[in-house]
Amino acid sequence: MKILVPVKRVVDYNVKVRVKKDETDVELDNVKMSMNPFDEIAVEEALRLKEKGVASEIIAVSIGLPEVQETIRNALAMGADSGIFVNCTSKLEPLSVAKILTSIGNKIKPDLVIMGKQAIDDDMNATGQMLSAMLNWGQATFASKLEIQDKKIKVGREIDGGIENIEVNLPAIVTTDLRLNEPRYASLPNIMKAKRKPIDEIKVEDLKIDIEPKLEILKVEEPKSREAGIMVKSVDEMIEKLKNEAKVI
Amino acid sequence: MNDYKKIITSLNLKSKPIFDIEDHLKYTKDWREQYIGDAIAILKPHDKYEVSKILKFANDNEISIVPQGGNTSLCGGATPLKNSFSIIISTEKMNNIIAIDKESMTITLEPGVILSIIHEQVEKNGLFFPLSLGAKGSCTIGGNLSTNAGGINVLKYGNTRDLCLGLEVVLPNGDIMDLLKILKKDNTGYDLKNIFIGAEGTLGIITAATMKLFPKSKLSITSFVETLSINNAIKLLNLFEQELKNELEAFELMPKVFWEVASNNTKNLSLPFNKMPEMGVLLELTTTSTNDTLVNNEGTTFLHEKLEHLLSKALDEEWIEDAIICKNDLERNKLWEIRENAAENEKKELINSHAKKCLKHDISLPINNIEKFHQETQKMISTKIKNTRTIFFGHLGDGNLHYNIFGNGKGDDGFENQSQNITENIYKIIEKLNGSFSAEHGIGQLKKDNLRFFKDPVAYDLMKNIKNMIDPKNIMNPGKILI
Repeated sequence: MKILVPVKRVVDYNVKVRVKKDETDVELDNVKMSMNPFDEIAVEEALRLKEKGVASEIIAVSIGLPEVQETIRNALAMGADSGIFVNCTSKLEPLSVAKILTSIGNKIKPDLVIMGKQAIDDDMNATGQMLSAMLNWGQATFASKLEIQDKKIKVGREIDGGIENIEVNLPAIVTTDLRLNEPRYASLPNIMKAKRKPIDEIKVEDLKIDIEPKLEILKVEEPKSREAGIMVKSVDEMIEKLKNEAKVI
Repeated sequence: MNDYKKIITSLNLKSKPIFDIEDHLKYTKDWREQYIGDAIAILKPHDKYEVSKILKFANDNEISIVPQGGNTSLCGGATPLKNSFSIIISTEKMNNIIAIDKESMTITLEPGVILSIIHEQVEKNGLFFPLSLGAKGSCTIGGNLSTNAGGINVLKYGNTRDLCLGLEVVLPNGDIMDLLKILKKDNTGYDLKNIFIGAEGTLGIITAATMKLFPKSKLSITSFVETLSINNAIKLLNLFEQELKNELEAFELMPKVFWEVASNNTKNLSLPFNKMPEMGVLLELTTTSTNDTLVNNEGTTFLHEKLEHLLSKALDEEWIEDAIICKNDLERNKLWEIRENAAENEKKELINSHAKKCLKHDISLPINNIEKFHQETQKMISTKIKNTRTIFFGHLGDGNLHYNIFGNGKGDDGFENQSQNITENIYKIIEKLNGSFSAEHGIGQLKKDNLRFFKDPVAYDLMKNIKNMIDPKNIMNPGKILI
């Protein structure tokens, strides 16, 4: 079984994101970048399937500037077998990404795509679902448990107030939620091994897909900063403030 | 007694004095719960003038003053003596950052600012303040200066003394001495500020300080390495010091016993390897050069490449067994959290064990003597008492180890009444190996006898003379450092 894992390079979760002065985007200069944490969970899950003998090959794919090869290398250092680097200088939105992944999917014909439910930079939560529609494969989103049994996957989905268990036929798209697993560290021997693993480069132009943005970003701005809390002297005062100032009771 | 209350009240301080003994415990008990002292009042001055007023009053009336920051001393340095007639001066209300100067890269601030708040504010200005230690969420810059605190970044940036450019100090007689300069060069006679750094509040009270800031790193990489012995870890350290001296920011020893304590006291501890590392090293590289952060054709930054190269060499030489390199800050923070929770975890371990007491030693040694020290000390302990456990870890890059021994629970002290004897013998081994029995925690009341014994007698007398000259009535933090 072949698994395709799309991995996105995003601002590290620990970085306090700042808006650019011209309000067109967030500041990306000299900011630590890492693999989207949900994608890392996807890589880990694929590796576990390989270790169980269910999967035979794991391919990591990333789209963007040459720097995204670092993100692919990280996936390879965790244990993925090979990488695909789609060289693309334009800004991408989920629809374009889904189109590119569809094209890759048609070419390498994976049995399963595991990917993050969303990327922590724009929190779109759309690419997996779009990809499923374009490939006409089943989808299991927000997976927190995954099992494969004869051409079927059983997935526990995180939903409000609990877990929904569903079954999907392969090939399929699974998007990962936070509790699916805890990704492994990359060990030095595996990092060195990863350097010898192949990364295929594809130019996005060669795919002949329309990746013209359909969305226009008008402005990026900071959320309103929260006001500091105040200390009240008594329960009565608190009730009074909740009633008259906060107007919540 | 009541007269003093009246006079103290008449000082008319902005914050009311705390006279009620029941409210004193937070200030009169040390963090390790080794000492409980007595105070007649807790005062919280708001500025240097209030400090000056209090000190003048105390000096005139020969009342002891115990300065206190975050009360995180590990040596009872901020705890008054028992049955003493003391006023605790808490600096918690003097917590203003006066200025952050981006051009000269300095911060000027009051003593009560909590270390992690400094980190936050400096970071907001795109700069970096390197002093960092486990207690950063509670300890204050005044306490850091007064104990010349060390921590995890000494290797590259030095300890608190090396970070300080200027001080403002209130002397015991109430005089305010202004040495607040942002100069890197200032050869104008004796360097008085350095007498107050590390003085543990025995000479005066620091009411403001100017500290150095640094550019924020553009990339930091954290790696955890397993070696089989201290000597192999030292070989790795030497390799990094030769090849990446400017980038090496931290080099922390975390042996198996350290991980056992961490795992006993942490829910869902995530181990970097499949098993407990034998002699672990947590190391961190940082760079401020943009070049180092660029991703090359192979999908690696130059700094990563250098690190991988050195680790591979160490692996080939069989100095290390295995290593991981953190992929993101989540992994980095998990590892550092384990390192920084050392003291907390040890405290929990002690409570849950049959050992009554933990003998803590904060020692420094010439790096090449560390393995020898460890072997000799273990041998010495085993000849005196059975079934002890030594938990050690620390800043290997600085030759600084925290060497803490859990007793077998027997006898009054949990060490078959030999705890003092063991500590003395450890200090003798350290003396023989040209080390110091107090590396970064200071002397406080815990180690003042040892200081008398081990300090060069001429130096000790000079310290006493300085103390007598600046504080002739011995009101400042009496019973600390000197006997």
